[in-house]
Amino acid sequence: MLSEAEHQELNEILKKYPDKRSAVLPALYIAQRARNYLTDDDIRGVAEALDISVTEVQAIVGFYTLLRKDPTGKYIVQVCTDLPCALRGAEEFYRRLCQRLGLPPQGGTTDDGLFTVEAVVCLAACDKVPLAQINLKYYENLSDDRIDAILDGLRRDSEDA
Amino acid sequence: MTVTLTIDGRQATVPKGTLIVEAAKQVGIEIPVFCYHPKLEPVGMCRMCLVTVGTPLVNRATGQSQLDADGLPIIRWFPKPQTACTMSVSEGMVVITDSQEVAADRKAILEFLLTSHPLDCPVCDKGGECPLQDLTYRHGPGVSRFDYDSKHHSAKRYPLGDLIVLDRERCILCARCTRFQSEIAQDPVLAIENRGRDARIVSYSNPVFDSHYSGNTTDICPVGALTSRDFRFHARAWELTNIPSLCNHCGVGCNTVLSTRRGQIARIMPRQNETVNEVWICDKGRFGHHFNSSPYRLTMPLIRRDGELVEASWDDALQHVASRLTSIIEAHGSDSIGGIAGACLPNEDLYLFQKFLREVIGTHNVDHRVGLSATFEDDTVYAVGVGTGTDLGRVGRDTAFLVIGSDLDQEAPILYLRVAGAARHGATLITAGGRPTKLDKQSNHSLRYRYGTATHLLLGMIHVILEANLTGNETVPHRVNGLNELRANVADWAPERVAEITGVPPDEIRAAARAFGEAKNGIVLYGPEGLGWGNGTQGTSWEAGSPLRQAVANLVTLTGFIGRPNNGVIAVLPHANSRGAADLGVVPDRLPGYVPAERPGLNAQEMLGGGVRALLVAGADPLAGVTLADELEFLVVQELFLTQTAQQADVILPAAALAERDGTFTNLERWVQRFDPGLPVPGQARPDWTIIRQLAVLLGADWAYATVGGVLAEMAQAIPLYRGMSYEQLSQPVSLSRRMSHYIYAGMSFQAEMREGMQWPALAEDGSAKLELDWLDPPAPPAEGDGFTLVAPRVLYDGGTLLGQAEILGTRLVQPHIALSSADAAALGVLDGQGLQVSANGQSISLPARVDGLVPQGVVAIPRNLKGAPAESLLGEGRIFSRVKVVKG
Amino acid sequence: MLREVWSGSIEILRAMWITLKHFFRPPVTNQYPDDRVPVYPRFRARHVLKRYENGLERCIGCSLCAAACPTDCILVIAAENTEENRRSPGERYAEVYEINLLRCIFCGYCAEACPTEAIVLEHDFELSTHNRWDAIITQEELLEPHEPDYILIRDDQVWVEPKWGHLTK
Repeated sequence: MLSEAEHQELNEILKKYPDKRSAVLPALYIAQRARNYLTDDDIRGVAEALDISVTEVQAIVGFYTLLRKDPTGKYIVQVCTDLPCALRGAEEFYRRLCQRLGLPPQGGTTDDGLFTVEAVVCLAACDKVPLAQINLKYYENLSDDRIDAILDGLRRDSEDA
Repeated sequence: MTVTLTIDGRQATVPKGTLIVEAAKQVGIEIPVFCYHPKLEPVGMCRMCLVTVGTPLVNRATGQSQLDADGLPIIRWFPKPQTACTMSVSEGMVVITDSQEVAADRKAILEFLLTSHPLDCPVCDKGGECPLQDLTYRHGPGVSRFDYDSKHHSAKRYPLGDLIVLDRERCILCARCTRFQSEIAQDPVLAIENRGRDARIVSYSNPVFDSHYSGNTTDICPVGALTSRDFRFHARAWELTNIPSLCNHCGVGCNTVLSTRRGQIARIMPRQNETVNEVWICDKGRFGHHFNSSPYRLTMPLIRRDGELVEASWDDALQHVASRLTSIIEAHGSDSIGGIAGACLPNEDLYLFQKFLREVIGTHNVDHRVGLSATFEDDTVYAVGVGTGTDLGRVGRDTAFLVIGSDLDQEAPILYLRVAGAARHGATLITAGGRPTKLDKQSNHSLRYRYGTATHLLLGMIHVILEANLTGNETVPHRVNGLNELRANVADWAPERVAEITGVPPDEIRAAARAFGEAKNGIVLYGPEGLGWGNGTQGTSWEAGSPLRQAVANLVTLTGFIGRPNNGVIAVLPHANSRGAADLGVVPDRLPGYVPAERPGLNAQEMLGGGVRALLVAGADPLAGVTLADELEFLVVQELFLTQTAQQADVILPAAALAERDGTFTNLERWVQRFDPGLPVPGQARPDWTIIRQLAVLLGADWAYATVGGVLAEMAQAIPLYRGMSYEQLSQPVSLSRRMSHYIYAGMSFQAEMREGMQWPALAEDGSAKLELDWLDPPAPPAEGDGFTLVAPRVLYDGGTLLGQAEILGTRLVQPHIALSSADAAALGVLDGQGLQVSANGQSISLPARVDGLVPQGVVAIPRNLKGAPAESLLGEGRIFSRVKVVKG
Repeated sequence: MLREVWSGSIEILRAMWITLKHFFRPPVTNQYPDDRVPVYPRFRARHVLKRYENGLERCIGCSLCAAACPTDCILVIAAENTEENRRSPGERYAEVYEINLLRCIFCGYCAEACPTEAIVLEHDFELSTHNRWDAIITQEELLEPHEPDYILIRDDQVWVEPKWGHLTK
C-alpha cells in the first residue's frame, strides 16, 4: 500500500497528466522504491489510486523487467553477460560471484536479503568489462577482489544504517 | 466518400476508411485473420493477414498519378508486406493476396504460431470449428521445422474464475479476449502479463474474471484456449444440433443458438442479430439454461386430493379444472375468477390467456404485474417508443442517450453493451440515478438524484429545454397538443428549485438538458429506480409511475425525438416478454393493443388479496412468501417447477419450457422474434397455450388453434400493432446483402440462422397522429428524516426460480445482504460481513453488511428477488424504496 | 449307339468313383464350435479398447471414431479427468463408449481415425446375442483385456494357402 507521503508525491505527479491512468509508471516506481519490489498490496494501491483495474496494473508490472514482483535485495547487482562481455570473461566472473555469495549459478537473492544478483543484457559499456550495475550505479573493470570489496562496503553501509 | 482499389485484379469500391481485410471480403476474397475481429479495434498482433500493398506513384507537381510507357499507373510497392487488418484503403491502391510471397508469409506465420501449440485438436473443444485448425489446413505447412522436444509447456487447465478455463499452451496471444473485455464489456479484468515466451493471459480481479460477459471470450477465441466450464469436453462441434432460439432471462431478447446433443442443451451461443444483440450474450443467458434438464421439473398433472398432490391424467386434471370453474362461475359470477400470467410466457400464450379470461370466462381480472413486474409498467412506448429501424449498435456522435433510474449492466446487460458502445463511438450519454452504476464511467453527464425525485429532475430538464428553445421545431408545433399548458406548468420547475428537491446542482441539470436537447437524435431509457413509488405512495404501480412516464414522454415529444429511427423511449422492463404482456393487454384495464377496457378488472394485488374465488396462474410465482387468501377456493397453476405458489395449488399443470416449444417474444425495442423448439418435452408437460386452449374448449369455446403460428395469425388480425406478422415472416432469414454487411466472425462452425423478426411501429411514426403533452403533478418528494433510504435494485444473478438451477453460476448468485457506503459503515461501526438490523413498516430483518462504493451515503440497498425475498418483505412487493432504520446487530 | 452306351457307362462309373473316393476322405467342414478355425492376424471383428502398459485407458474420448463411422454406430460421451479419478493420461477420457454391433460393418474406419490407437478391431467374431439390446456393447465390455479362449489366431507369417504354391515363413 502507498504511504501518506507517497500518495502526496503521486498527487503532484498526477497534475502533469490529463488522464489519471497515464501516471501508472511513475506511480509504480514510487511504490517500488521502498522495498525494491512490488507486493500485490502495492499494486492494488496503485490501481485504486489511479482508478484502473488491478489486472491492468499487474500486466504492466509483468511487462517491464525493472518492475519486480519477487522479493528483491536491497542492492540489485546486475552483470552484463552479453556476447562482447562474455568474450572478456563476464560469464565466468558472474558465475564466481554467484558462487561466493552462495547463490545458484543463474543468480538470485542472498539469504540476508541484501543482494539480488542477476545477469542482464547489454549495459552499454563493453570496453570496461567485467562490469556491474548496482542500484543503477556502474562499477567498471571489476575483478573478483574489487567486487567483493564493493559488496563488503555496501554490507557495512547497510549495517551502519 | 468512396475509394476504389484493386485486390488481386478485382476492382473494389468501398467507403473511405475501410480496412483492406473488409474491402477484400466485399469482393469475395478472404484474407485469413486471427486477431482481427470486426467488432474490435484492430491491433495487428497475429500477422496472419500480411499482404502485398502498393499505392500509385503521384506526381507532386500535378497531383496526378504517373503513368508508365503503357499508360498504366506506376505502383510504388511497400518494401515489406503489410497487415491488411490495420491498413485502411486509399485511392488506386493495389493489394495482392494470392502471390507466392503472401502464401509463404502465411505459411511462416502459421509455422511460428504452431511452434508451441500443443496440437491436441482431438481433445480440444474448439476442434472442428477452430480458425487455427482451418487456416493451418488451408495455408499452413504440413510439417514443422522446430524441434518437438523444445516445445514450450504451460498450464493446460488454468481456471479463470468459475466459468472459464484457460489452456495457456493453446493461446496464440491474439488479445481478442482482453480487447473484448476492455473495449466492449468495459471490464478490463483480462490482460497479457509478461512478454515474449512468458506472455500469458491473466486476471487479477476478485472474483477472478469478474464480468457479466465472460462467456463471449470463448466464442471469439480463435483457438481452444478459452473454453467454458459448462461445455468443456461435453460434445464435439459436429455432434451438435443447432436450434435458433431466444434468451428468456431479460427483456433484451438476445438471439441465441441452442446447441443440443441427445436431448439436452450442450451450450448456448449468441446468434448474430445486429439490431438486438450483435454477436454477444451475457453469462446469465449462456449459463442459465440448466433449468431445462432439471430433475425437479414437473412432468405430470397433479390434483390435490385430501390435502395431498397426486398425479393425474391430463383429461382428469383439465376436466376437474373446467368443472370447478363452471361451478364457481355459476355460484358467484364471472368476476369471481381471475388470472395471473408471468411476463416470461410467449406472446401467443399471453394472448390466449387474456382472451380465455375475457371471452370464455368473461372477466377483466387478468394481470402480469407480480414479482419483478410488480414495480414497473410502461405504456409510453406505445406512443413514443424508439422508431422502427433503430439500431443502437450504429448510433454515434449526433445521438444523445438519457438513462434514468436503470442499472443496465445488471438489468439488461446486452443493452448496456450497446449503450456503452454508442458512447464509445461518440454518442452523448447522460446517466441519472439514485446510486452510481457501471454506466456512469462512460457517461458525459452523471446526475445523482435523491430516490423519489427522478420526475422532478426530468421536469427541471424540460424547463431548461423549453427555456433555451431546444424543442424539435419541425415536429412540435403541428403534431403536439398542450404545449402552452406544459410551458406554463413547467415554468415553476426552474433548475434551482429542482436542485433543492433532487440534490442535483442546477448547473449540472442545465448542462445535461442542453446536451440532450441539442443532439440530433435522442433516446431515453428509463428503469424501475426512477419511479416515484416509495413510502407514502398509494395505489398501484401504474399510478405511482405515471408522473415519470408522462415526464419521459413529454421530454422526447417536445424535443422532437419521436417517430424516427434512433429516437424515442425504451422502458427497461424486467422479463423476456414484459413488453408483450403490456402489448397484449395482460392487465386489468387494457385490452390488447393498448385499448382501454370499459370496465377494468381487479389487479394482481386485489386478486391475491381475496378479490377472486378461483385463480389461474401461468408461469408466475405470486404467492412466494404470501399465504393464500381465505376467499380463494380454487388455485390452478401452470408451471415448470413446484414453486411456492404451486405448492398451494389445487391443480398443477406441467408446462413446457421455452426450449421445448415454439413461440414469439416481443423485446424492449418492440422486436417480435420467433424461437424454435429444440428439446423433447419432459414427461407429459405441455406448452401453456395448448393447456389454455384445451381448458377453453372444455368450457365450451370453439377454439381450434392447431399450431402456435395459428394463434399469431389471429393476433395479426385482431391487434393492429401486430398487423402483418406471421411465422413465415418472423423466421425469414436475413437477406444475403445484409448478412454480408456485417458478417459473423470466423470461429463458429454452425450456420446460425439469422433472423431479424419484425418491429411494430410506435404511434408517433404515423405522421398524422397527434401527440398529447399531458401534465401530471410530480409526486411529493419523500420526506427526509432519520435513518436511511432503503432501495431494492434489480441484479443480474438474483435468486429467481430458473437461475437457481444453474449450479455453475452458484458462486455468482447474489446472496442476501445489505449494501452501504463506507462512510455509513464507519458511522454505524460495522465492518464488511457483520450483521445489520433493518426495520421498516413494522418488519425487521438482519442481514450481513456489504461495504462497497456502489451506494451513496444515506442509502442502503438490498437487491430485489433474492433467496428469501428480504427486500420484498421489508418494502412490499411493488415498492422500490422506503425510509428504514438501520442498526448494528 | 453301342459306343454311346459304353462311354456313358464309363462316365457314370468315373463319377461314382470320385464320389466313392471322397466318401473315404476326411471331411473339409469344420465341426464348429468344437473345432475352431484360426483367424488371420489382421482379421477385423469385434472392437477392443486398448490400455497403456500402466493400465490407463488409451481412449481420450475425442469422438473422432464416431465422426469417421459410416453407420453412426459409436456413441462417445467424454468427461474430464480429475486427480482422484484418472482414467487416461491428459485431461479428457470417455465416460461412455458404446458400439452398436448390429449397425457396425467392421470397416475399421474408427481404428483408422483414432489418434491414440485406442480402438482396434480384433478377432472376436462370436457376436450373436439373445436380444437386440445386448448387441450394444459398453465400455466395460470393450476395454482390455478381451482375449476369449475360443479365438485362435494364425501365425502371422503365413499369408497364403500352402497349396497354392507359396509358403512364406
